[in-house]
Amino acid sequence: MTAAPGCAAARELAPDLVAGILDGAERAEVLEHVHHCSSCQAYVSELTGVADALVHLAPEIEPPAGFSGRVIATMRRPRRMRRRLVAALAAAVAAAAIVSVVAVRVIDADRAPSEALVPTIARTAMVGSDGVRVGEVVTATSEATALAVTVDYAVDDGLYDVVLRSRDESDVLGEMQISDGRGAWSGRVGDGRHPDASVDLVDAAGDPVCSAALGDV
Amino acid sequence: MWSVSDETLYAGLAAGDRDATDAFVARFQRRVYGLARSITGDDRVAEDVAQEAMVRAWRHAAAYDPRRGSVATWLLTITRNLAIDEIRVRRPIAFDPEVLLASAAPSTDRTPEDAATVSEEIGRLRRALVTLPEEQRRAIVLAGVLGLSGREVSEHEGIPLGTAKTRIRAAMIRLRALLTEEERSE
Repeated sequence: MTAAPGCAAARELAPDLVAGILDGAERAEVLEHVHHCSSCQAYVSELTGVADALVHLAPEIEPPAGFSGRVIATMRRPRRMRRRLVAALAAAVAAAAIVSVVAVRVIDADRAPSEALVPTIARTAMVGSDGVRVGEVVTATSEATALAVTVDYAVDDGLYDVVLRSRDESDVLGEMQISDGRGAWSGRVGDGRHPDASVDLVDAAGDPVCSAALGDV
Repeated sequence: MWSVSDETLYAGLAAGDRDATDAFVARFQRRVYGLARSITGDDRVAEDVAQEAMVRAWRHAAAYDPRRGSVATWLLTITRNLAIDEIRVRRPIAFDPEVLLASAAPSTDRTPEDAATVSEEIGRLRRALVTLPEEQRRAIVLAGVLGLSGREVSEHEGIPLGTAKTRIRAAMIRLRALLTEEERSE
């Protein structure tokens, strides 16, 4: 364990910090110093301004025909929760509440379609990038899968995308607002199966902040 | 036409105003697509990235904090991150840093004030960049714009890791000195 660096060391590493090329340990040490040192904070802030400005260098290019129409159409599409979905969720959440005392009944939806309406419940921990448990995802699977995602620890307040990722694709399922360190989202995954799926919360900059590996959903 | 600031337009977009939405997309689409195209090098991928960036900026408008940078920087940073995600699945990364340094055509759809501010910032950065040795310029664009690690820059440029890190660090320090110096002399 090395001591936190002083101003000279922090300033030497600050350009690397801003350029994103420090390894985890060095990065943590510099951030620790900068957090408590206003003059180094100002220096890092100036460097960040330089790094941020780099994105403005790209040439302007006219997008393909119809681009703006497609973007605007997406923005205007009404976002509403369907009644069927709400009912499915209510069932999923109620089922999840008793899962700890009732043995989970495993249903093979492919071979027993008539029984597939009885949901299979599973709980999965949601963990942050440092491996810390920040919440959980409860899934209730019958014909489709209902998801209830809760976060109650170590995730910054803000608006996050709830994203279902599989090997080949990722779908934004909805948004979760985290306030005072807590947030909840529930919704449904489509009818198809998603091998090796995970549910991630993605921040506004597009970076995943935590993830729950669901396996097959 | 909309002769309002980027920030005002963005507020209108966040509030769901139809005219503001149209104007926002019209104002930024060339910059967003241009950056996505420059990083990904592919028309189709760039279009997907640009569309996703615009929609994400709209959906997360409430999370935008003006103290942390301009609307344009926020939107382009979202674009850059999405574009980086796309190219990271392809190996090796084929990207020519000089592409980003090609001169940008001036936009016709900005207020004179916005256009002046943006072009002044870009102008200052360009002037600073051209004074850097080419190898430093390439290294800082690869790390700073593309988000490559020191090791990835070293592989991309065929140089030792230490050399890559030294170039990136030297470029950052030099750019900051040149930009703050120029700012103070104005």
